[in-house]
Amino acid sequence: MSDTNTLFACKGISKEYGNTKALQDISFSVNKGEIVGLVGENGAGKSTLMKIMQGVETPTTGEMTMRGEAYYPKNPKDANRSGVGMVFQEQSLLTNLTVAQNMFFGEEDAFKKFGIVNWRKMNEVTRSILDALSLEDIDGNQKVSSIQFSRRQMVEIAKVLNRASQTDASGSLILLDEPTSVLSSEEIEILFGKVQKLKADGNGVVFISHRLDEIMEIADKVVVFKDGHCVAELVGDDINEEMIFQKMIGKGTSSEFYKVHKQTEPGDEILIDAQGLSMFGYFKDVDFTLRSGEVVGIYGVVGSGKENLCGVLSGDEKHTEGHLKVKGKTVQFSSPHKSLKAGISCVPTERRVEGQVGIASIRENISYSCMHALTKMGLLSSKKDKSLTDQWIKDLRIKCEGGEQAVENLSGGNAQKVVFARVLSSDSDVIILNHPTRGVDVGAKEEIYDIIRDATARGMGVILQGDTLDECIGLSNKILVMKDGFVTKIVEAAASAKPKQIDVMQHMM
Amino acid sequence: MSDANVGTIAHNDIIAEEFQTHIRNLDRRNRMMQVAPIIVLVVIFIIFAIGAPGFISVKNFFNLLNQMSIPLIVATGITFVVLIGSIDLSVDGVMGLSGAMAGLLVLNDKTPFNLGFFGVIIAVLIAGLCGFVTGLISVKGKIPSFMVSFAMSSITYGFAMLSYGALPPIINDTSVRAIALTKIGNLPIFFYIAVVLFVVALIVQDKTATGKHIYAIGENESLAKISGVNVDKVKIAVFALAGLFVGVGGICGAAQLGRGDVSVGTGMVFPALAAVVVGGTSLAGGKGGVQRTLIGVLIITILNNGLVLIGANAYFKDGIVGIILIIAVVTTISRNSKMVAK
Repeated sequence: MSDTNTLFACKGISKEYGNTKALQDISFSVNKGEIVGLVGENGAGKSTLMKIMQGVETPTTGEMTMRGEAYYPKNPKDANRSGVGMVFQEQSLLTNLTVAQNMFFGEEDAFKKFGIVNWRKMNEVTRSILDALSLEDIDGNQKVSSIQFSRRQMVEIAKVLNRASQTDASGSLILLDEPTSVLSSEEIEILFGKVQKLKADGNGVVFISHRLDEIMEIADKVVVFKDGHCVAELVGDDINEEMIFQKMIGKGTSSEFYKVHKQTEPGDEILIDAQGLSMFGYFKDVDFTLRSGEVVGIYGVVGSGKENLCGVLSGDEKHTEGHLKVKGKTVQFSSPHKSLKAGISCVPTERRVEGQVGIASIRENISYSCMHALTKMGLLSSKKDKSLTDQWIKDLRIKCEGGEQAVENLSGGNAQKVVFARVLSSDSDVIILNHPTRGVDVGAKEEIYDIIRDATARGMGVILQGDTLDECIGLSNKILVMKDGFVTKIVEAAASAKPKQIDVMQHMM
Repeated sequence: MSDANVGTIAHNDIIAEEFQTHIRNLDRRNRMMQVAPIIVLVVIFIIFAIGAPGFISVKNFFNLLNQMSIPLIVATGITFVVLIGSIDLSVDGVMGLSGAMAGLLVLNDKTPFNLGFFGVIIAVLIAGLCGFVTGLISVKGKIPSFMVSFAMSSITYGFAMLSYGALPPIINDTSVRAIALTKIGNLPIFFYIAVVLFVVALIVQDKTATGKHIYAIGENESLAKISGVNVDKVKIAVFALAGLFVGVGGICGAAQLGRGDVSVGTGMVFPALAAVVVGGTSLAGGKGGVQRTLIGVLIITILNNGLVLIGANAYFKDGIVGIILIIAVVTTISRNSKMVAK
């Protein structure tokens, strides 16, 4: 790797958010005419690194160079000027403007005369940019909202290419963050054709995808991320599934940590029965049952449909096809209130935002879901309320100054326990746990696992979106593995025969 | 693994296809919503043409143009505020203040000032300043605009009342009165002012970069920000611009009334906002425009005019406008996105 051939390099990049280390000591480089695939589980730090390279975030420590010069972009515009452009995971086109207006958004000065923009000239320039990518069917004067969703992705790529290559000559760096997730196979082929052309023209490309087959097809080098670390750089024959999986999978934690000895066998009662459950455009034909005392894990990459499936079960979203039975009764939830009534309560992902009222006290937070049990002739009984709170504080070992302390002053683990207390006191038969241990320290994690085991011992059913694959395997009786909106495999995970991580991962990527 | 891959590619296609259909349906619904106001306009026009005596007449035609002029000026200004996803409830007070200031600064029976058109310009600038302050406080203080502008309405109303004491000044400046009284081709001068301002607004909206930045802010503020747009500046400017338009509306009202009376603005915020929303500009921001507001103003004006012609009770009339507004809001908001006025 000669220096003159290096397009971009970073050394010792770290990024911390408060106490959380999102990235630690990342070093890697991209050569001219090289496609680098970036793989890792959600939360491994891939997107954070992209944002740093694009100037959306600044690194806590570390240095970067672009085209041999020190590179510290303050914002995306700055990054563009240095020849770095990024296609974001979510489309970042303004759908209420035209293609040309998006292409030159924030850079209209070149087309201005006395404050009036010459749209015709802008459309003409846009025409030539689109033609260069053989996007003849798209017109600069067209509103983005009138273009097919997948074609918008190509427009976005055209925009990024144009911006990053304006300063050109020595090659640009294009960052693609999961550009294929909404594209059909045919469109992906077209996109790959363009990416190969970029490569042939001497540009560098960083490509993030959750689809290993895509990575293997297109990348010259694969960089594997895990928990904020860069754990491997694979080239040539090393780029194969076994090797990548092996690097991505961390060491499994002992079964003791997940209290596997307390794992209960599924009971006879079927709490949830889903048949052909679908949500148009998000997931399709999901069949599964949840029995009393059972933990069903749902695992897949972000966007695989798992979030929407949990959303349907908790009443946040509506299914469009199929049958959902809760304790034998067919249901169609229209709000979380309805699912709570049917006996399902939910620990949401964003605890601070969705799960609790920060400025309210522990007592108030716990009683939100079981007001009816605490009322006496329509009025709240403060005595019942208080004794219930004290009981939960004791049972769940919530470290606090008492029931009146505001929840926002508790540590992550203790705040999460308050959410659990609320959910458990609501008399539900089913609890849906979305990342129940996110942002919780190790000690509190174990206590939460205990709480989950106790709940199943009492006959409750649990739907779990684990924070890590390891956790999902450790806690679940069986795991629904999701990919592209379908359940690709149901992996059994009985206490005596826990599957390996690779058994799950090979079905989700 | 190879078998599984064949399966997953098919899965990927199915869900990608479904998702794209889903987006297409949303887009189609949006496009239908754009046509809806025009249909409403045509329908009420036909209903009154058949049912209201004298609705189709040369006299009533000029009447309609006359009646819609001041609401059009005000609603056009407010449109930009709604486009950025904010709301301006300060119309009543700011319009009244501008009318009162004009009354006091031109030849009148209360003060010795006789600044003529210079006084009119000062009054409009004061209204623009009010809009600027509303924007500044709302944007920099991160306070919802409905709250700041609502307070601004009260402040300006009170200030206008204080400025002239018990009785509003009577405007004796004939050149100012001429805005309403002199007619060219059967229409008062303020009709032509409305047309000019509308065209100016259309140019700002469609021909300048700022116009597109306004749309961008309404659609996705953070995206506009990282693309290098000075979002705060644009937003504050939009509030100031709305203030200027409302100020001109106040002058026209005062010229018509012959007094610098704060009441020229009273009750104006509701029909103005109703016209913007009924025309199809989304309260969530980013969608719509002044050309749609023109349709909205036509709908509201024709409704008022037609209901008077068939002899409907005035309160009944207000109720009808309210119901139409609610229908417009219910059918145009997208329920997935947050609908809080920023």
